[in-house]
Amino acid sequence: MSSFHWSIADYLQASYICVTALSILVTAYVAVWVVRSVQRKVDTERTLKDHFAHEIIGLRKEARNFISDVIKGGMKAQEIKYSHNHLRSHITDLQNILNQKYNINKACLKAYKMNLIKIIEKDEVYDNAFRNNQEVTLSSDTTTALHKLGRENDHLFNDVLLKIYEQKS
Amino acid sequence: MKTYIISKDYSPFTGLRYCCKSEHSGEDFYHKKLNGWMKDAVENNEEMTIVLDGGEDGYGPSFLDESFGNLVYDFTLEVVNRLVHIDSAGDPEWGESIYEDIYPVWEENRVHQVEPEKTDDHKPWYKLIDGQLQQRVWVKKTEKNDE
Repeated sequence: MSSFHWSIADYLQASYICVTALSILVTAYVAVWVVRSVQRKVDTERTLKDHFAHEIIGLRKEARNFISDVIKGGMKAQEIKYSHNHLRSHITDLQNILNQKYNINKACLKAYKMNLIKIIEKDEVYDNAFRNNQEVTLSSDTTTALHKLGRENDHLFNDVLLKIYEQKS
Repeated sequence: MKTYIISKDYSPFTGLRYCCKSEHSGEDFYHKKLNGWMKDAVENNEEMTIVLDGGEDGYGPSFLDESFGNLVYDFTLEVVNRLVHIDSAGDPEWGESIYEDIYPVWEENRVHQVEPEKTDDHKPWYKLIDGQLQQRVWVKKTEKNDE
């Protein structure tokens, strides 16, 4: 019967193999952890960008609908002011967060905050209907100006989208 | 420094430019509140802050134009800039619009004596004449707006 005896060299060899195996495992674990962490960060950034994109598209829809409803006529004067303020608040909130997160100009959608309501307020029909909160059908000059504002500024929403996705994560 | 909050010290709802067109108009706000607040500020040489945030339905540009424009017209741009601070942290564009669009135009009007329209009979109000506060009805109600 033969007996198996380890020499010191065998122990050293076995230890070396164990340390090497352990080192490979640790390196692999760290590599996986790093990849997963980076992936998580990329995913979070991507999710965040997609979220803001969704918000901007929603805002564009809200702005388009507002202009379209005002042009169509039938809204009450004070409802126009209230709805515009609602739109304005959404724009302000989004502009603030996009400025903080992506350094996008805070006044990027200013046309929809200031110019839009200025055009409406200049219309005598709106002016005269306000006190008794009557329904408003704006003059053709005003509706032309509103169409023009929509046409010339609709691209601003896409500009913001591009700026968001152009930012490196 | 005194602080006035429009939504609390005047009304949470605001209207358009003229009294003849809406409740809580810029003209009404100026004559019922802002002129008196400014008179106190000038008398005591004390700065004041006007807070725009907190209203229920925001501000029409014409409301701000008529109220803060008349302030410059009656008290001069130099004095208004020295004593009045606008706080519109919630929506900085209101403040920017007052400083950049409204003040310069009404200072121009003041220099060239382009009188503002009044669409209501107001009690005597204050105006700075040669550095002195004077009170009277400076502009009468415009007849064409008698609706």
